[in-house]
Amino acid sequence: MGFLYSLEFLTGTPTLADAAAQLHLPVSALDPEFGVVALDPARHLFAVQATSEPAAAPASSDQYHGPYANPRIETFGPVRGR
Amino acid sequence: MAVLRVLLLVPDTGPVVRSAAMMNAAPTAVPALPRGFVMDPTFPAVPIEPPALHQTMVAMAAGGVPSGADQIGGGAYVVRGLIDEKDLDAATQATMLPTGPRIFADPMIAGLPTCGGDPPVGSALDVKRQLGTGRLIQQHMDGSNVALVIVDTGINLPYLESKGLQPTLDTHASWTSTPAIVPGQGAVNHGTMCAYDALLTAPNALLFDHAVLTGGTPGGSVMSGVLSNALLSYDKLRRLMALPPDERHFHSMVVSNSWGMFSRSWDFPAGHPGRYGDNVQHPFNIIVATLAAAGADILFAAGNCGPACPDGRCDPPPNLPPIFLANSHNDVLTVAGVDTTGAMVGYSSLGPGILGNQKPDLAAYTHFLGSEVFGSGQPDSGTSAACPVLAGVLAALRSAFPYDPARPQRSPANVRQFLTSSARGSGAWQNDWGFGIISTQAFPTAGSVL
Repeated sequence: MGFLYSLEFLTGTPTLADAAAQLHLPVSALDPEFGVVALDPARHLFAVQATSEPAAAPASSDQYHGPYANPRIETFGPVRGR
Repeated sequence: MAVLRVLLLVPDTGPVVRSAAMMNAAPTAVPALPRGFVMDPTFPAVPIEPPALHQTMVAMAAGGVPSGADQIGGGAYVVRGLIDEKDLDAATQATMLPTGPRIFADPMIAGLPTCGGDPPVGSALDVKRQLGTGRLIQQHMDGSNVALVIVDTGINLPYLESKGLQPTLDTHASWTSTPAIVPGQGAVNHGTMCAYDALLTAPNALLFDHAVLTGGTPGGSVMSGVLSNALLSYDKLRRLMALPPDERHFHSMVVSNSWGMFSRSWDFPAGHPGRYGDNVQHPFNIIVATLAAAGADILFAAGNCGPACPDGRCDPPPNLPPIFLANSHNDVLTVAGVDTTGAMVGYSSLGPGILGNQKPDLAAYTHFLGSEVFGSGQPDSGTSAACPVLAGVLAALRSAFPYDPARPQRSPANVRQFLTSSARGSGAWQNDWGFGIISTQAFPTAGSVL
């Protein structure tokens, strides 16, 4: 399911390669289908989805934050018994 | 010390009590009342047979002797009252005499709440009646020019049409996590139920089908997905809201989310800085705030982990999950569930919330006979149904009071404030239904505050 990173990019919208460079990850570690998502354009905040294992991923820095969970989600109905 | 509600069993010691019982009234005087007991004048004296006397009567009846059980005055009477907790021991001692009154607890009781697996309570017609849908439509509050986004498993339009609805779907503004699902042509499932329930009050809204929960998730059901799908869906909604008004064919956007996590174990471990459940810095929680700031009204179901009958997927008691995740976000309207009688359903998650404290905000109707997506006679259930019901109400309101960035009184936060302040409740926040049950009574005068 991968996991998520947020990053600040001040000069426009980053490409996947820009994001990978900022995260110190190879481009191949980022999910191209997810791409780069603008979380909050006013704050220049973007998100990418990484496919590599969390243990191999970098820790948060001034330029990015993560890894963040990308958990399973489910519908709240119909209600199941135990 | 607390004041306790008690019942007093009074022997038939005099005509005052007997005549009061015959008049279905409280007695004006009772012999040998324990000290501190204050009788409830609204509670009539109720004739009752004490066990010993009852046994005697049964024995007599078995021997063919008339029991006289129907005669008032054959045994004793029950009266109701209050007693201070500090007087209880003395009163109990004083009522231990064989021929004296006896004191008993009068505890609070409640009917069993509606739970998963229970039959429907009322129907979609009852929901529409409670919400005054006909009146709203007459006042042009019908969802017109409002984008009603169902972030769920996908919508099946032919099924909705078979139910007599005439929905309009914007396929270009829709989104699916897999090309195998065409907007409006999804399986007849949870998302179709949500669309049906939202259209009850907003029949002219413009549907956006955002099929995020399309299955294929490890360990998940066919109605599961991953959060990053929701993030992509919200990215599209954010871009749609950023279009100039003359480039979009809706003036307001209402986003209904009937999903979340049932277990903390689906998240990163406790204490991890990348957790989703309690972390406003999580990318999804950031984009929720961004979309709300762009003017979208976002609603989330509270969850189905209420203590009376939690969903089987919830962390087991006593560790039931709270209202957490984006479902408790300060920028969303968190929706609890009540049945059509106005009683809380037993599975509706209780607050407070994790990201926002006073969660849920409001309760809306669920567990009614509606779409029958899950089979003939099966209810639209869960806080899953309550959320789109309220989304439809909000879309109806927005059709008359569009989002307008130049009018701050119409911000999503102010609209939430209007809805909570006009709810049917006590005015004070409670952890089960928030500020009360959604009510549209104040909608005609909403212009004074919106």
